[in-house]
Amino acid sequence: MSQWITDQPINTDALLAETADDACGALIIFAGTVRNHNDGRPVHAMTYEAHVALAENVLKALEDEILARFAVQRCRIQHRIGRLELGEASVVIVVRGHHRDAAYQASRYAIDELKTRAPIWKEEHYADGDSRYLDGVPLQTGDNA
Amino acid sequence: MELTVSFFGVLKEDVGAKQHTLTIDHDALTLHELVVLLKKQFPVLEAKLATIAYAVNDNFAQLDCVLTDGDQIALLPPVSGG
Repeated sequence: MSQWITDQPINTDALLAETADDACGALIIFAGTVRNHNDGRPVHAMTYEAHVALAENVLKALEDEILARFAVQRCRIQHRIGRLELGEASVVIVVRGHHRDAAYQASRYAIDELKTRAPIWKEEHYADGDSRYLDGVPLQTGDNA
Repeated sequence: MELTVSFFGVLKEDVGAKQHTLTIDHDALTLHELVVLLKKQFPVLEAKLATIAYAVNDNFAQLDCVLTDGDQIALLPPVSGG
């Protein structure tokens, strides 16, 4: 699969190697992981689904936007799809910049925007065997952003 | 012409299918017109339309987009990635 959407465990080391830059003194790694509860209900696992072609375009464009908008030198975003167990990373965002302020801001922007722009859905699986899709937020497609 | 509609996320459960193929006796119609047809077929969509986004052939699309034979349409409900 691609650089932006994967059905395999996210390889953070590979993202770090890909973004290696000796000019950068700040490295921010954000990972979103499957937690064991939501809305007061114990969660057992999570299934992520994407419109893969669209999601790849969105994440690639978001990386490019971040490099243009913030004083950072590297940005990589990878999101996983399929069934994930507790503690597994659903998304990893790597940002490298000369200095930390911009890198922190860029990392935060990346995850916040991903959550409204990427056509990705999660379905929670509960300990009692029940499951449900989360309500989510209306997708921002650029034309309506 | 033939159109293929894909339902994502909770919409799959709502309509009971991941994909739906329509054969339509027109050479072209707008996405809005297709949505009207889908609403008749799947009344459950009515209440959800305000929050659904659309894609045609792997690009985001607006309701005035003109569809032609073979187009792949995706209905995208509110998202929850991350």
